[in-house]
Amino acid sequence: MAATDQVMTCDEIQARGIAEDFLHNRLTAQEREAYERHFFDCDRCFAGLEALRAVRAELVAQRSPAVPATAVRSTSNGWLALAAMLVIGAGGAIFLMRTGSAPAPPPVTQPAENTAPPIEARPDDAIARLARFDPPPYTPARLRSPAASAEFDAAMRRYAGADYAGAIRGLRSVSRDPDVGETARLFLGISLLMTEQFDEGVGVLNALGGDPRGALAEDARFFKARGELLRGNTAAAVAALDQTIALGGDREPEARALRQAIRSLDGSK
Amino acid sequence: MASPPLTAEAQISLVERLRAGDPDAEQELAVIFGRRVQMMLEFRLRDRETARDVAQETLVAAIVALREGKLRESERLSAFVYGVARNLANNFIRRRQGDPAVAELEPGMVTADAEEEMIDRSQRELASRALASLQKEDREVLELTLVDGLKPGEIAARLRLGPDVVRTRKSRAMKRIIAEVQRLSRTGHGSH
Repeated sequence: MAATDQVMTCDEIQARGIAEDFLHNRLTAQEREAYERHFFDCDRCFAGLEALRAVRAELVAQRSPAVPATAVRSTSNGWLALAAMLVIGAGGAIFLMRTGSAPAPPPVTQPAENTAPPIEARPDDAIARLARFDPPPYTPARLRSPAASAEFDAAMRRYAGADYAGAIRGLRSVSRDPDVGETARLFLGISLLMTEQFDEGVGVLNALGGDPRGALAEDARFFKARGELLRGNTAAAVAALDQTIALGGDREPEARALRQAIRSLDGSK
Repeated sequence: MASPPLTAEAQISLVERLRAGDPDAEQELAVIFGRRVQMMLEFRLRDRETARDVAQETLVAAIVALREGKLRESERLSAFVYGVARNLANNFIRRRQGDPAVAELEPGMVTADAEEEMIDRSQRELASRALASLQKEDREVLELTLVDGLKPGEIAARLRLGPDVVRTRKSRAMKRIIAEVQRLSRTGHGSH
């Protein structure tokens, strides 16, 4: 059976906590595809996933200073709106919700031909699994200048809501601010990694971690190592972890464990 | 056992109506699969705005392909829509990685989408009410699981509890929160 034909059952999904791993981006490419296939064809599991995702979003919001959900008026389901506006008439005119124009028909490729994206095509799935990480939570600082604060806070709310692409623009904008710039560059680098812009993400983190006296040098080096793993560059990842460990900070045990895991995998080849 | 959104017969019927160009069938397809496609794409593309665009492309591409009779086994409609979404997502990721101009979204393209935000808040409102129904200790385990991404063993170490106790609390919290969100969703208690 091909890896992409892996089948998951409701019982397996529940027993292994697959939905939580999906939310935390911890599934292998094959597991993710099997789970996606399953929830496309299972109302119960999809409803469970939607519920857990909403609960996670609310728990994240309750940790941050954002407006709580109960203070906001709600609207109807957006997909009903899309359905109402997605009309392909007999003449072939296509009306889309936001553009209002008639774009060229999209390329239709045969679904049966699975063409995995580059991140899934890496030969060493164990390394890819090691490379996955949960983006670190952000704890707001108490004292900051108001000028950059609003834009930075808005970007970090997007980050906290897992909208990393949305966070990137704001973080770039304040990345040179004397108060929040350093923190912005750290989360910019992480957000770039989360949106699979690995080269730029590693570059941002490399620059931030260059000065060992920097307050965020340790975090920058550690997540640079994650970025190198995402690029499949285990030697550079180990080097970045060595640099992290050399600082002797809070990340040291985690960095040592990750370095050991990489070496174990390299040694087993 | 899986609970499919459509029976095999209903899928065949829907595909036939789509082939015939029935606009109600197109709307039905969007209602059944739209949220699934959006969910999958948001996690693959890590960008809600882009995911929404690609989700629209997916539904349009699926409808066009179905009208052209490209699905031979009509009872495999779910797998077909999933395949279209996966292929379009993969195509987008390749473009993004190969073309910095695509990776660097233009200013304004990533501004907040008010409607999407409101939908999220609607769902969060349900979640907030459901969370209130949990016992404090169950909620704590749920938060460490869903927000911090900790496994039961890690939670047990942090809370100084036995792993079995954590697993029990987690299982209880998961079942209860999902059931409560779904109950509130059905009864409309999430909205004002």
